[in-house]
Amino acid sequence: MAFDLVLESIATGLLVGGFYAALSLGLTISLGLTDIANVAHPAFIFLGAYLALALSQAFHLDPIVSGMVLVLPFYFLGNALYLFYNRAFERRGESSLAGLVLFFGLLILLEVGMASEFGVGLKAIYSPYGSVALNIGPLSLPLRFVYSFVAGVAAVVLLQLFLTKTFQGRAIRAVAQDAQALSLMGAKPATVKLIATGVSMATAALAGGLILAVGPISPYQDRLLIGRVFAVVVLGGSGSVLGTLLGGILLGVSENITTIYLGAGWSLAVSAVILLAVLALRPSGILRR
Amino acid sequence: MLEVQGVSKSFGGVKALSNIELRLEKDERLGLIGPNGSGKTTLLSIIAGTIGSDRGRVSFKGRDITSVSPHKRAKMGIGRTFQIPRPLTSMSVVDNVIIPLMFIRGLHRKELETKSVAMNILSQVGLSTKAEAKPKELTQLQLRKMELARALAGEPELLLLDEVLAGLTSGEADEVLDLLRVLNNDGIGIIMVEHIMRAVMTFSQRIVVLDFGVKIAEGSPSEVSTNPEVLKAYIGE
Amino acid sequence: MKRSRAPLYLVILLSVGVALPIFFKQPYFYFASYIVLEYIALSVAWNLLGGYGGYLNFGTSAFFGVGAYASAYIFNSLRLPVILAIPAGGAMAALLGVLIGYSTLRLRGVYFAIATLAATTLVQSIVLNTPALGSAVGLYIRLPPPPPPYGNLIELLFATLFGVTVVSIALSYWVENSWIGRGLMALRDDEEAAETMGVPTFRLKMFANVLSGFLMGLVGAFYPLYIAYMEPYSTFDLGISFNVFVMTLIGGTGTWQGPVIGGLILGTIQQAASVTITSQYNLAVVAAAMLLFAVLAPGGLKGIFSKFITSRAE
Repeated sequence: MAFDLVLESIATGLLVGGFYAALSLGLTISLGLTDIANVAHPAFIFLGAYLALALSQAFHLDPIVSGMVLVLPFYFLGNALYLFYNRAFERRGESSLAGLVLFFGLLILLEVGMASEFGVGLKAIYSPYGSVALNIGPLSLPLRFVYSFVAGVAAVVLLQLFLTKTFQGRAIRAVAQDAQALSLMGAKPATVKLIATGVSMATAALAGGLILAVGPISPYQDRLLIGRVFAVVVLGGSGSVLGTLLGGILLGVSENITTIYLGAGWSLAVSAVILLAVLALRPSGILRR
Repeated sequence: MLEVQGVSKSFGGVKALSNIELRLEKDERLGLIGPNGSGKTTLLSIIAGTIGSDRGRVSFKGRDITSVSPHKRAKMGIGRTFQIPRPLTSMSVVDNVIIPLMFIRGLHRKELETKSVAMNILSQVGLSTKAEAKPKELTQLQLRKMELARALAGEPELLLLDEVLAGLTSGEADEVLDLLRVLNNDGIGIIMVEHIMRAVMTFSQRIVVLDFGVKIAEGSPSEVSTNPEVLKAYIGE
Repeated sequence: MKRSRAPLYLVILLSVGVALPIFFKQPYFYFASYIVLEYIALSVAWNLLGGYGGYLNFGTSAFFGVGAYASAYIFNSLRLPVILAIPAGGAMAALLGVLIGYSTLRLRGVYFAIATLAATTLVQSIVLNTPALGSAVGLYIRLPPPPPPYGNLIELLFATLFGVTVVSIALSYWVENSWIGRGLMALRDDEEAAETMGVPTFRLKMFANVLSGFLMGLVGAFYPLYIAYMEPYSTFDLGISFNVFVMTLIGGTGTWQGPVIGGLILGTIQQAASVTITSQYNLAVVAAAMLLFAVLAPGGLKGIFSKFITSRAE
């Protein structure tokens, strides 16, 4: 196999990895830190993508910028989601499994909603860098992947800083480990989870913008994301933001290597295999102990 | 009968237990005390098998059970109650007790026979009248008695009690303690984690004190209650 | 004594199912009710692990599809007798259950749910990449002629699936009333507590998962004969998984009657309204119904019915 091809594969895999990491941030927070299994997260990402599309078309914005604009509204959407979830399930003392029912239903509803509102055909936004590639030596790296990589890494870093340096962020990490420590900090678990779900949804908005930047979208593509996003979360360790970056990169590179040896059709199988293998062997992930 | 050697456990960055050594002879009554967060429940869970230790060994009746699953340990004779009662909410009280009868004692077949054994156990703890009730209808005391009944159904040789007296009135606590003394007389070893000092001091033959995951004292109740390290741990500097 | 009469009921029911198509000739009825039977059987199978054990399988279509494609490959491509292909479909799906089970059933339920969701996409992409299985183009099935006294293939299919459904229900009834069912319900209520009571949680979950998967695959194994032209998008459709889940939820999880009621009612409504599973309208209504039931009536229709009976008795 030509060395150049392998090298480019790895390089692109790295870029895609940062992109995958950004997509998975919301889920690692929600599943890992607040124990809310939001399987509908990929659908919310696509909701973000479609809304970003509308924004970009209306105001001639870059898709990634549209995604950033949606961050704040999606934060509030996350709050609303948590309030409903809390009232309907948490208050009743139902296990997190009962909440799965809610999120599975939301997944379907969102897909159906997007399909009827936007149609099932592929939709894309034209951006000036859409078909441009960055040429570094023998490598040709599509700019849209470079930008989404940069945005993804930036999101990871920002989120990590938020979780380690701010009061709210540390409270979110504490609520996962020790409710007692949390009350010592003077924060209520419900409020903390409210903020965490908001943050999780906010990342979905940005992720939606990245998805739009990277290629054409259609409503049922979220199913292609489900396995990948969960693979990244599980690889990196549920709840670990930096782990998500590592997991994303590992997945991206593995997929690309698989593609050049077995063909693009098998790339989806990679995430499923990784997911099952990691769950079977080290459920706590690579970064978490 | 029970030997815990060099057991350590961390959760994330927090060290819950460091190098714990513990022994229990058959029929012994051991009290496990210590301030909040000292690792008592963690230690019980490691002995019961629901949590694995990072390091160390647990042996029961001469066998190394460190990697033995909880349900097998239950079959070997280790019973436990939980700090906050964990009833099987979809089943009646008597059905709750029938589960360990079926799975630990293996009473699968004759339904009527199993039920009468269960009723027997319930009368031992004083819950006969509530046999068909659902757990959500029970008071705290009754829930704890059900926990006890469930633990007993497995014919344990070692009983791990996690704050079984919490939230009870002094009269109710005495009721439970009397029951425990009877069980101990019948040959069941007991490790009791408790905060109610009066109870644990009078009940136990030996006390082990934990603080921040480390064993700081061990001895008879009178020795431990006058130990300056123990007083410091509880009262502070 | 109810127990001694149950085998009798079974035989009667089976005879009805087998004999009906011989005397009542109405192809459309059989085509429509075949789907309803499919859903009843799938829901009953789903309930074994989902309702009794509390582990939600979001990948019913993966098991169904594996059974369908394995069966199709064996009798259509390998030209082996159909009678071999059917149980082989079930066995392949059971294998999938073992794979997923070993990886995820020692963990919290949410990981199992996610893994089953991911499994659907995985199996679908395997089929899409395998020309021998038709890839995206699909498979044309050579339909065998039906043996007399059945005039139409669909009549035979109906009779056989009817039998499979009845057997599944019987199995479910048996599990529910056995120590296996009790153990599953105990671990559903509180897995950690159940372990301390001697319940071998992992083994029971694996059993329920593999049995459930086998039955789903068995149902799927008949599908190629029904549909005659099979392609991966509709075979592995998420809507199937969702439908089964909702039917059991609405009918009432945790009892053998629940999935039967739910499958019968929702399945019949969908057939009568002639909506396809994947139609957007259908999915939205079903999703909304599910959310309503989940929040307001967690016991499902059976729970409502039971409460009605007990309140009447007071």
